[in-house]
Amino acid sequence: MSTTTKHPIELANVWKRYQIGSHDSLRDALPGLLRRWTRRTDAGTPEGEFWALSDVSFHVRQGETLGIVGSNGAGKSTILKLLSRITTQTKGALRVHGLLAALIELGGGFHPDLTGEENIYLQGTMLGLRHREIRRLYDSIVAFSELEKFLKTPVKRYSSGMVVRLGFAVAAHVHPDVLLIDEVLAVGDLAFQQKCFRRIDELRQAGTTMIFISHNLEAVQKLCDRVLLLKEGRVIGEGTPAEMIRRYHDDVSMRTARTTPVSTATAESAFQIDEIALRDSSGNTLETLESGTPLRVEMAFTTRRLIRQPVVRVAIERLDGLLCHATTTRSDHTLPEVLTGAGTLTLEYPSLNLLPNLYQVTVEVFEEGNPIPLAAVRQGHCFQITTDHHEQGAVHLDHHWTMNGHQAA
Amino acid sequence: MFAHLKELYWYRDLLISLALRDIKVRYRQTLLGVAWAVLQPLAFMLIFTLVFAKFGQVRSDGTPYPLFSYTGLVPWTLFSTGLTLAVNSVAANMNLVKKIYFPREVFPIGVIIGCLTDFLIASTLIAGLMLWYKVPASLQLLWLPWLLAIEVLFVIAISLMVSAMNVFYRDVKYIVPLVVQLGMFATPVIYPISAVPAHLRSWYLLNPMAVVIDGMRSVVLHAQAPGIGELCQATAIVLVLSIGAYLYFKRVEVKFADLI
Repeated sequence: MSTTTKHPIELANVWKRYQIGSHDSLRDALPGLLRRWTRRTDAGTPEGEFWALSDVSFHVRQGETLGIVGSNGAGKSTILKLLSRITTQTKGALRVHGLLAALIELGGGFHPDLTGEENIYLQGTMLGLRHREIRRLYDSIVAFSELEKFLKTPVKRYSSGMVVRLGFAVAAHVHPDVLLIDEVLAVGDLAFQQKCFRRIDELRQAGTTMIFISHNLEAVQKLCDRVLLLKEGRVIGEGTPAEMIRRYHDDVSMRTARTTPVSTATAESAFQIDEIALRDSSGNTLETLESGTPLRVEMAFTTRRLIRQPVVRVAIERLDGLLCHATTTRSDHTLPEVLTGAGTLTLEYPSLNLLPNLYQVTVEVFEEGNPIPLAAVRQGHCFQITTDHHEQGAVHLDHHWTMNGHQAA
Repeated sequence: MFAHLKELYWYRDLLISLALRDIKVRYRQTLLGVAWAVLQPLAFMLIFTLVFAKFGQVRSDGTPYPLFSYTGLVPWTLFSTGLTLAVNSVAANMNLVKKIYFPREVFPIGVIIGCLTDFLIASTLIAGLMLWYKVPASLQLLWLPWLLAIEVLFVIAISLMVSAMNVFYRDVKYIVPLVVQLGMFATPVIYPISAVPAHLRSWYLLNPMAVVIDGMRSVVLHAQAPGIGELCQATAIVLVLSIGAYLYFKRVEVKFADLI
């Protein structure tokens, strides 16, 4: 841990152990207590031990937004709990400089029998606001929640969406130096989610240091400057959002070999996609590609019966869900009217002009008149585009600039 | 220790909010509302008057028994209800304990603040009864804040300990009401302190509640100052207990959220 610069968040060699199988009554605990006294050991049973975090170290710079991704149980929420002082570490040191607030559960402090207004005060004080601050911010909180008419109603009559809206309205008015966000944006409709993102963005502009934990990888990519990848309690990567998300994806799909597609076909399926390969111009399988270079999608298939008027659709989607391009064999008349046997279908893009990001390929096969695909491999293949262009947006477009009437200095 | 108190002071508005929450929730959907604060000691007073005074012939040092027992019951109710409600206060809010940080002692302390308001409401009936029985008020009433402070600190101390233990061992919330019931007999609620044999009295007065209730009676009913020696002794005991209980609570507090 550096002694010269004081980062707002610092973790050094943090370990966290949990004891599973706790005792809830004295009767259960008595044998354990006696054992502890006679043997003078403080630890519980070794079978019940579980290390949630092992030797975790990282820091977050002032004004930076750090994302933490990883599978369930990787230790993400444990880090937040340690930072919010809800629990304490077994070994190692954590330091937070400045006022910290955590959005871990919106409306968690609400009591169902109290009205919306009363709960605003209750939840606000739990998040560290003073009564007089809440009084001052009250109208703003109400306006943000859009629940003016319901403030005198007990919260038990609210829908879950209303609870979340009120909870976030209160939380949005806390002005911490450091903000921890854990999956709170998973609930709520589209309008609400956009409001949340806008608010978080405002806090970013104001220089708030943030840690963002989410399974919504699109959001992580949008909001975070840097991402930490956790697996089973250890930091296995630290880098740009795109890199870490890609590594997370890889890790997850490593369990299903990448050449075996995740398909919706069953053993009796008429059409089976045996393998999908992404290749470059030399025929090598690729994971990264330079913008503007060729991409080949090869699909090996087997049919179990006659397929009438088959249509294959290949789509390229950006990781945040944007459909960049899709095409079908219908326009090219590539496939015969009736398809049998096995074979390989190849789709070639001479020049894939997408901008740097993570993309995934989806393949679907249809038969005449049936809107439901016979076989589909959705988002099974990720690849990354890298390039030197300094453009923004989804695609690279050829262009050039001209200027008239300027006097050279 | 002072860092903890400073932090608790920082969260004082939360303490008030929680106390308000408990009071509102307790009375909001009831028929009789805040009248319940008076009814509990009143009901006991009526039963005691019947059972102990009429049938049991318990003396009450010259005061009419209803007033005598009620003056004991009101502070005792603060103690017993406060403790009984506080013991489960942390365990009942485990969902919050796992999600948001604030000093956890706000739960038991908030509960006791809520019970204090009940106490104040119930004490108004004492004034009423004094008028009825023509018992004069005196300047000795000024001792009341000190006596009340001893009691409140005592309840808070025990609440901190049992509420923390209850998080780990949930049967504590059943043990506490039982012990409190028994404790009522070791406190001059039903009988006057003069009923305690002289050679046992110094042991008896180690119980801070005994000192408080006897003191409140002296001051309210007999216009007499409470014994300074007992008062100081009780204060010392309660202070030591409070500090010990608070330090214990803060030490185990970090383990609360780990209980899955």
